[in-house]
Amino acid sequence: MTTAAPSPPARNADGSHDAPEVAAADCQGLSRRRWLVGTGALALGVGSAGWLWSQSERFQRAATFIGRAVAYDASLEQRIREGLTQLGWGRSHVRDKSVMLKPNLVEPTIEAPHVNTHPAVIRAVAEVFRRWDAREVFVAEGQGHIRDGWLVLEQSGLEPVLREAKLEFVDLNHDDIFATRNRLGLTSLKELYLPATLRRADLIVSLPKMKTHHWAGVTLSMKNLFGTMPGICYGWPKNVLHHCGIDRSILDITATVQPDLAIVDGIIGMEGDGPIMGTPRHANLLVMGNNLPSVDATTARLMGFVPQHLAFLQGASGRLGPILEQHIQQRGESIASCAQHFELIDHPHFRQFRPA
Amino acid sequence: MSQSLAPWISASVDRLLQLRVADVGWGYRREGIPYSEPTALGCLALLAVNDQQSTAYATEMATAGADWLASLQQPDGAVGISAELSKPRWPTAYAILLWSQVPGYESQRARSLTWLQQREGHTYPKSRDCVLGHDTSIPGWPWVAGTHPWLEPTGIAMLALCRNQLAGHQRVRDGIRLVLDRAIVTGGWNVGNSATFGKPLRPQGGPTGIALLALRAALHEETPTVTRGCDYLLDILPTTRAPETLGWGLLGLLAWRPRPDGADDWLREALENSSVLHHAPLRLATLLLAASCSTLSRLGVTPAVPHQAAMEVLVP
Repeated sequence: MTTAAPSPPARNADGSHDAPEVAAADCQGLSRRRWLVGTGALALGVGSAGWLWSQSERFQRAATFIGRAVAYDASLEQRIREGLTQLGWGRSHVRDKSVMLKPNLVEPTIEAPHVNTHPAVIRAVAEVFRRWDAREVFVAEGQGHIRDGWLVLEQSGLEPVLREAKLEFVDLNHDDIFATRNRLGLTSLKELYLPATLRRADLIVSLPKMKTHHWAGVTLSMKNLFGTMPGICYGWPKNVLHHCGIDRSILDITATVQPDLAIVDGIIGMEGDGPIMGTPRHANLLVMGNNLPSVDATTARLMGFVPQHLAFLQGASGRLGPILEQHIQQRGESIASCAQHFELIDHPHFRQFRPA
Repeated sequence: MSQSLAPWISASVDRLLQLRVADVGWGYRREGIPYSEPTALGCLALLAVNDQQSTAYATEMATAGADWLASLQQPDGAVGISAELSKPRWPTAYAILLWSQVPGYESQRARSLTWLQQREGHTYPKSRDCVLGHDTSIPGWPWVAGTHPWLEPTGIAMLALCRNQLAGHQRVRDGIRLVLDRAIVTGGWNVGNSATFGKPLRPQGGPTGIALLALRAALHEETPTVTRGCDYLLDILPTTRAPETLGWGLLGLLAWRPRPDGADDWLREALENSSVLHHAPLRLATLLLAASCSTLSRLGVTPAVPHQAAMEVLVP
């Protein structure tokens, strides 16, 4: 993940900062009044600096690209290449690299193709990277609701596309495993168990679907990374991550897996009871960027959400990237020209994601 | 491999043997390290095929796998997913199923059965405003300690207990309640979520097969839930060549219904699809289990409907 962020100061597990220590010896010889004034000024200064630090999202900045795309057709490759080029990607970034594409195939079914990242998007992205001389491009998923990886390929319509394009598919649920330190540590999980295939990839690309989500509000490039967590360690569904807190888990996984790029399939998204039972929403959009929180924040805005109202994005702010609009350089289409209102189902549970 | 086995079975057994690693069992991937679940199921598949045509190596390899699983057994009786990862410990039920087939592992089996009877997922009273469709208070087995019980670990645990004359145990009775409660109203099961926000979720063939196997092993009588599950499988199995779906789905169906016409063709097509099975011993083993006529009895399941169990394993 690339951000132009300075090194943040030491942080507590909950994201707060310890107040700087003031040695008692430094206060000797001061009158009580001057000491109080000085301490007050210092506290005010520290508080203001903290506020500014927070409001500036620790000076993290990113760019996202919004492109219109009305159909899953051959023009996608060109649209995606244009977007990536505007974000600074090109052959020099990709040549000789191993590229892993991570679509969202959480529970595909032929009856509801809007559940999963469309095969045409996966293929188009693969072609872009191949033409930029990637050493290899492969597709990998560890879907959360279906154990049978081949059923996922059958139901999603991806199998013939992979065969025709000669793209390998790796089942991340059933892979060799390595343990790695939880880089953020917001959950109680000290280590995360990850599939060995992640180590094979030089570049990890999250390819989510633009969907509402009944537990997280939206599921985009960050939530999509639940599919990098192997089911043999976390189960079906990956209930460990629910018990640890979905929002915190999203943040821990994003910080630990560190994807390089996100491209959101928002041509036909999902509204209502996402991520699997919602209804299709023709949004006709592709959203992409190097920084996942920024991509998700922009996409959330395009869906009619305020990113700060989504706990995982609020938690990402300044930690993993910027989410405030003024800190994200928008390329391609503007948010205002493409913004829509993805419906949520009428249930009190959903009010947290879109407060009155 | 014996010449009397049908060629597609024989070729699949050969492929399974080629995928064996470290002289003990199977991993999830070709050339990977061995893992508990594929090792147990790989050994069970060899034993089941061996019932049709005896070979020297099947028993030898099953014993090697059983030995290796015994080496992973922890002091409390549980078995982790691999030699490197002692947790999670859901594969314990699979180890029991293998140790139930191979003589000499009675003490290991007894310790694991004790552990399995004590293992319980996190449950809680279902509140009035709960958005989940199922009863969250029914005890069952989780994938990972401290988390909610789910369909597959509950079903396999029930099979392991019932295979060891514990069908009347209270945990099995609770397991029946859980499986029935998690059924989807339209027929079948998925990972264990029947509905959310009042909307029924979608069933899947693999979990439906495991649920039906577990219910039959626990001597549950046919109820409308079972009937709907069988109807669902009869509807979808001809349309899929996905190995776990077809394998577990067919085994579950055979516990309650006669063998459907065309089942051999489905299995053969799935087994001959080399791209499906290239890296996946688990998939190969599951299909071989479904192709063998002795698997149900090896799992301790008596079919509800007497039927021609002999599948086309042997050349007519």
